[in-house]
Amino acid sequence: MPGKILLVDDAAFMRMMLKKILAPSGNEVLEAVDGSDGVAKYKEHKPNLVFLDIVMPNVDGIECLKQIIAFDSNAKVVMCSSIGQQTVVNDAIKIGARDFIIKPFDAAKVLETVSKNIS
Amino acid sequence: MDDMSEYKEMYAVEAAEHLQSMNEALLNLEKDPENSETINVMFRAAHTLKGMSATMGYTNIKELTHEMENLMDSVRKNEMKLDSAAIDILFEGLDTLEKMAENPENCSQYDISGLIKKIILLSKREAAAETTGQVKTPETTAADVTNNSPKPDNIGQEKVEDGCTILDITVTLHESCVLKSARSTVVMRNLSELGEIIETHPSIKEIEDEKFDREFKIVVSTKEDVAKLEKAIMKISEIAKVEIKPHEGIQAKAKVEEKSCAPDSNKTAIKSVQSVRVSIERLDSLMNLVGELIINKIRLMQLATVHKLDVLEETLASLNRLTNELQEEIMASRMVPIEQIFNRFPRMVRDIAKKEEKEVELILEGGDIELDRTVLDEIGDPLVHILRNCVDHGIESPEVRKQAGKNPKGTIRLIARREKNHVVIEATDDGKGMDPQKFRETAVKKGIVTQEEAAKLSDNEAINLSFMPGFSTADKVTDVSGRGVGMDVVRTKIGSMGGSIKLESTKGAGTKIILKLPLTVAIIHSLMVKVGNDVYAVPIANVVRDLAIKKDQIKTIKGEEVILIRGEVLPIVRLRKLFGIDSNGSEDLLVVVVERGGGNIGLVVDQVIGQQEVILKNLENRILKGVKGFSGATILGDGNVALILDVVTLL
Repeated sequence: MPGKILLVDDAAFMRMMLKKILAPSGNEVLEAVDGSDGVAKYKEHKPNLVFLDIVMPNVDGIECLKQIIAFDSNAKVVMCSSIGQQTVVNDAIKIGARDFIIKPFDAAKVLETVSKNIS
Repeated sequence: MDDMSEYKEMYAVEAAEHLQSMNEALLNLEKDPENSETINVMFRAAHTLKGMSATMGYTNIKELTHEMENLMDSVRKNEMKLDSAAIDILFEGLDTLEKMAENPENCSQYDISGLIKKIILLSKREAAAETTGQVKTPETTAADVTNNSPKPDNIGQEKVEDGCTILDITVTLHESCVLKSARSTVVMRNLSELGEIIETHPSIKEIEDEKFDREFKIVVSTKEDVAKLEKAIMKISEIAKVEIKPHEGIQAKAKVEEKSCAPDSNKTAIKSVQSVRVSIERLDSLMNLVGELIINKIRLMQLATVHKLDVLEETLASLNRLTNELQEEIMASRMVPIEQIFNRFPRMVRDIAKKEEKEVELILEGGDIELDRTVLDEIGDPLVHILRNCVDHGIESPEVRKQAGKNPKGTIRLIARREKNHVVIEATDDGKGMDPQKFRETAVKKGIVTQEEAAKLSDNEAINLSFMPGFSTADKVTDVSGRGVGMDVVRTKIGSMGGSIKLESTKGAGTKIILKLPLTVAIIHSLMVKVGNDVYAVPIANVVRDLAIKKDQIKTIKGEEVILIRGEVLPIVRLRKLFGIDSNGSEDLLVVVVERGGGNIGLVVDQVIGQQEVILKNLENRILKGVKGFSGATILGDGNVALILDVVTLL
């Protein structure tokens, strides 16, 4: 079922890739350009799901995650990770991230992640 | 995934931005190798570019950025230091990335294996270049163990209840799962919401270190039923199989925490795109159309005045305002910050300085000043030339500088600033400066001026001889230091845009080159003058002032007409004579003083009409092309054509 999804990534390219995957199934896709924007947009829109990049300027993904979880302990955050960021992803999950996906994004996996996390 | 072609342009734009920030970061790291923020910038840029490239399937770019990212990761974890060898290799990596990013589809043509080996050697990693390599530091692992109690922090504060079953859960990960440890952490976290994890096989630490194949076992105490646990685990991505069996005997304590997550169903329309890309050709064509519109508007206004049509004049006043706004909007949309070309200079200066074993610091200011795209495209090469000359011939070697009592490190300042309708760019170096005497000698030797003429020249005029055509053929290694190499080309280029250039230099102390550029080349702010029956446009950029003189103020020095103003000798040129029109014999003369390559010159005209913005029409016609003295033509409101004077090539 479609939901409101927030994409937090400093690379517009990555946001567009995800948006192209998510939008066709009726999801409302919101975008944030860095961690602090991500927190602000989360508070404003309370999305059903967040795709959160880890490496970002200013406020990085982990800090952003902490702030989102502090605001809403039920927040559903999916970390967008690259190969080689295992420890960071582990940390993120302990902080409260629900799931993670690996770049490069596979459309089927992204959609599966959405359907598994928005129920 | 559907066709990638639509992403290519976006990839190109963002990749260029990341490469640029890597370039800046590296240049800064060269000066300050331990700046953690800069290290992070470099790391992030490499990381993001890697992700984008992997998505696009640009394997070579991905692999190279991956290695660069790993290297930067080691640096930011203080596992290694950036020395100049490391910076050089990173620069090499960056160069290769830039080349590959030009045509990323063919990036596999580049052999990057040697480069990757060098980077790996640097970061002292034993592992071969495998893309799945993970960098793990002892510190993080140690930290993980300590805060890694199986019981997550967010539960366990409430009193637990008795009467739970203990289950053995065996989870098999999907074979495509890449981050196995992270995936296992998700499993355990989700399970901990339904019960309490008692133990795991292998141990939590081993799971975190990924010391397991695809299967691991969790012993959990829960009061939920098996089906619910199974469903909860299967909901996690990348899980191939779950087996749940009762554990032997014991009762345990557990706590259950259910989290409800009702999806928010309110929906709003997806926002539309905020900006569009337009090709510069389209903007050119728009500009041209507005130009035509303005010409027609002026024509209409003149008709209204001639025929005294008051009603029409009112309408025309509003048409005038609208066309002006339209023109301003189009001009504004063509403006780009000058930093777009400034950005590539630090690297260029660094490379030349390094090659010549000089120490040079380049200081850029005013990168946010905006210029018309066309002007920007045109001044790139001249600026490269000027800066190269600064490093090549201006800045001395560190030893020579030390002997001269200067800082061994030379400084070049490139400053852009806005002055009314112009942008001024100054390039200043604190190098050895120029010797006017040498310029006089060389100019005589080259036959550009005679001995007498040379003696007449002021020091400033002498060094501005370097703009003369012919001077540029000077041997590069003469004492005059080849300053003239190509400077006439630079001057011609700047002049053809309606800009001006001049040189100031103090022997031993440095050189300053000042470029004055119009904001746009399409519209030239001009002073309209009349000579004979024709109207000419003199670009305001060149005009210093105008003055009225009496015929008897003209003196003749060595066969040339000059006038004396404020103690300065000003050569004058009668445009009537130059254009082959008979003199009108008037006693009162109007002189427009224009600046040209450091010196001023007075142009005698019949009438000064006033200032006007004229739309440039290039003289691309085969007959007129190559005619010196005119940079183009414009159409006046009355339909007549006026030539635009190019002060630089006029004489």
